[in-house]
Amino acid sequence: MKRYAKITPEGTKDSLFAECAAQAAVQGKLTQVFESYGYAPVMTPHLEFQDVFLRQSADWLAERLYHATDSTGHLLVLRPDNTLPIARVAATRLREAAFPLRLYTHQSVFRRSRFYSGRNDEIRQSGVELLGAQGLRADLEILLCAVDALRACESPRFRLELGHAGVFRSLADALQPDEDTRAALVRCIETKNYPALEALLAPLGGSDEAEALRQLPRLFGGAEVLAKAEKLFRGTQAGAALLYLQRLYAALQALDLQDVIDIDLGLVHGQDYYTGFVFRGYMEGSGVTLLSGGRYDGLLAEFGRPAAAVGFAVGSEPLAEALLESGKVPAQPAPDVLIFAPAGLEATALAHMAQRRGEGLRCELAMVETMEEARQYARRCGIAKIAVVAGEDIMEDVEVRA
Amino acid sequence: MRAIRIALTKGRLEKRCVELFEAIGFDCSQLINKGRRLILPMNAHEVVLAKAQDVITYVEHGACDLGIVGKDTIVEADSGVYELLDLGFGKCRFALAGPCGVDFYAGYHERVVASKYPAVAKHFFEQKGMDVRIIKIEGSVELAPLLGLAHAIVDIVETGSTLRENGLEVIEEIMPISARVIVNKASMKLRRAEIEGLLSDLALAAQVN
Repeated sequence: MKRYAKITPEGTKDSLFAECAAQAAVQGKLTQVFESYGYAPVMTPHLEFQDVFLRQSADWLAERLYHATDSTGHLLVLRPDNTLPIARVAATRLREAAFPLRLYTHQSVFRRSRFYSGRNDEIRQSGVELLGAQGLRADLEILLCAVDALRACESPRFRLELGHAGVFRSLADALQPDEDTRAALVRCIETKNYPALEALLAPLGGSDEAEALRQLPRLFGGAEVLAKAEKLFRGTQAGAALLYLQRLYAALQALDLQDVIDIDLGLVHGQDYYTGFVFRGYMEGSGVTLLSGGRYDGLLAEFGRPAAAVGFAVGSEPLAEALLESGKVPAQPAPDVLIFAPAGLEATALAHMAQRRGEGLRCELAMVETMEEARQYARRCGIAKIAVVAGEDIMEDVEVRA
Repeated sequence: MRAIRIALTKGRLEKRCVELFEAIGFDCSQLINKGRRLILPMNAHEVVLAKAQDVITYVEHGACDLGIVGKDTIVEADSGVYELLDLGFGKCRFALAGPCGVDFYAGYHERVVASKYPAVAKHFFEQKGMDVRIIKIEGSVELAPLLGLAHAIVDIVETGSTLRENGLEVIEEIMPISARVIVNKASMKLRRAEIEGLLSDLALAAQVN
């Protein structure tokens, strides 16, 4: 027996009816927001050469990737990320297109997770990338677009947190840890593991940078964090990144967004391609990171077209689930009319149905032989009216009583 | 908004956790007389008791906001939760152990290592640049070298008396272990004030304990 013919792979699923409608509704709302900011849609292939993703700055672990080969034996992967393919497109096929480029996608990414972890391996994402633009203007646009995207989906209470890749990078660079120690530092700061961080930093000396790194995971919260960091970063190279975050946060305050945006200076991305501010989003009722993004000014150069860039991706599935739970996705109504024709009048029935559909009615062609069966079917499906086709020009509407 | 949910590890750490919460003035009577209920009220919070691995799973998915679990399980699970506090109790260590008086590293033969913690064992030997065959064992790992299945074991060692009674000894320490407080990333951001309050109370109580 073909055991695997009847199930979907771990971490994937079929979405039926209401789930599908909710997903479409979320995509529609996001499209509206993205296009209102002037972004244009693109699609990239599900399959890409592995080289797109195995880079110095974005090292995808082999065990997280789904691999395949093309007909010449080259390694392909199902894309684990949407930013790298967009960077590739912007630097190659859109080489001649003038910056800034504003692109959006609605497409899944694929990441292997541990068996039975309950995570999705196919992650439905929507995202925007603003390419060839730098500075406060571009960063604010992206942040606002993210807030508007979450608001448009009527998501429950959400928060964004803001950090800067330059904070960790400048502090760590000054200490010159070896590659393994650096990776361990990232891991400890990312998981706010204070005891292990202490242990790692102890042999690196008592410099200002080491002390700042020690405090980094604790530096999260509102505006007060920035003031605290200012003192702590004195005498280190992290001041520039902090100064920028202060400007960014002040601008967000001016837009009255301080209630949905926090600071987390311990926000370090596993992906090393981020160069400037980084951010993540969380939503009530969902224990996972909902949204993730930031500035990546070095990535396009890796594909041959040096340019600044910034963007984010948001998981559309938690948004769709929340929308579904809120009851704001209307159930698909029953058809307005059931078209019934006895044998011999099939073609006529379809011609009549085309006319009715043209009038904007939702029709269903009855797949039965007798009027009595049609009546039963209509009753069962909650269809209020049957159009009985009796000849070329003869059609009679019959009301169905419940 | 729902109550803060706390997942505690059943068994070894359970009693110490109750003492800790009592020390910060929580009413733990329901935890002590739990009967057959699975979700237990403790002041304004809800407590569940679970197997160590499940504590991490519940917290990682956000089904619970906060958990107390041994470092051993955290290392083995390699999950994406905040690990915020070392409570200082439940102390033991990961160690490589083998038959007394046998030099594990001598010779050029392939080594077989049995462990309940294959990821920890794998990482340990990876760092040494050693190729080792690892076999996962669910129960008493000490049996494996006695039965000739493995040359050594990687396991948690508390006092070392089980090892001694079976003619085994610690070959090398791998890492110290103690009880940790873990927090779901989204909870930490969305309910910061409540969770930070709880954490600072726990930190204080853990110091006094």
